[in-house]
Amino acid sequence: MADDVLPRDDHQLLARLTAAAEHFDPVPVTVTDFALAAIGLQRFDEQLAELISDSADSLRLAGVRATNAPRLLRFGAGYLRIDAAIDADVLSGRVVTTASTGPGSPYPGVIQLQSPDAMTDVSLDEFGEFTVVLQPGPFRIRVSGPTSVTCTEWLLCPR
Amino acid sequence: MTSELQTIQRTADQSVTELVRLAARNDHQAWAVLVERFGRVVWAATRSAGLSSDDAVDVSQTVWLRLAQSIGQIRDPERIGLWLHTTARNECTKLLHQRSRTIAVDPMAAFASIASIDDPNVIDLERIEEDRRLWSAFSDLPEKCRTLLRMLMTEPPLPYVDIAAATGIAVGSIGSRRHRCLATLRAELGVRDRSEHRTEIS
Repeated sequence: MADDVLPRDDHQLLARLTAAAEHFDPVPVTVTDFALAAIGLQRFDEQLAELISDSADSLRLAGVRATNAPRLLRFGAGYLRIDAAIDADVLSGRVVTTASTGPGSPYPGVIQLQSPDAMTDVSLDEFGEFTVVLQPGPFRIRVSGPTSVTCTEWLLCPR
Repeated sequence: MTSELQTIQRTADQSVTELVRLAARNDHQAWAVLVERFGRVVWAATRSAGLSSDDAVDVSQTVWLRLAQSIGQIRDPERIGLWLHTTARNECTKLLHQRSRTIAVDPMAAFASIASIDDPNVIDLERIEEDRRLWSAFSDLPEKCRTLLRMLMTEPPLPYVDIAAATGIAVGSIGSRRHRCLATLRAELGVRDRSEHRTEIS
């Protein structure tokens, strides 16, 4: 592309680049359609659990480029605590109810694993622990209590 | 104008803060305007982080789910573009951390779409070829330049204060940095032109 063809003005060159981006790297229609539908997945009676720690955040802040270690996350909501480990496509974790002191007691029963198009029940064992194989893509953990539903933020299982 | 069109027009004219407030009340129309306005911000953030197309789709989807989930708690609604950019970049980094190996991006892969153009008569092929070369040179710019220029390429553009917060470049330096990045792009295109010219005559 010779200089006489390329705009000399920065604004015009940027506009030209913007047009090229629209042509060669457009936002995929699947992403736009998904984004439009995302608001429909939101239920307004859900409580968002607080992210207490995420090993991936610590690595990011420390500037570490890559690791084979599982990603460890801890969420809390009131007396509920959710610990989770993502190791490739395996999600394992533990759900406990905590008093103000002490180790807490295992959460009884069943939680849900939610993907954008499915909701799966996951049984907890007597220790409140679980292990599931994930499909690649976004997912979150839901815990239905007697009066409310608590969700973790959406997480990503890598391909 | 039908009432539906009136609704869309009214929503499109609203401030970002107002759109966020409406979307938090489950107003799908307002949400659609946010998706339209900021779709490019999210996508550009994932692509300038060097993710493959598949990974960029996964991260973009996660970011939109996050926004839907947090829309009622966004602290600074008028800076939602910055929130989206930062969330997307953080998710990209986390994804790359979870990999023991990263997948190399093929910036030319997108150009395959050229072969699928149906009717060459209605398309300015020369212009497309120029844009292809421009985009190819852009893809070889240093990451900091690609990130900055991508943020400036969104429509409407992100406010300079948000770009400054996301990139760490002082507000008063964005213009000069942009100029230097575009100069690098021009120089890169010049080198390619001369190289191709030499190949042609040899």
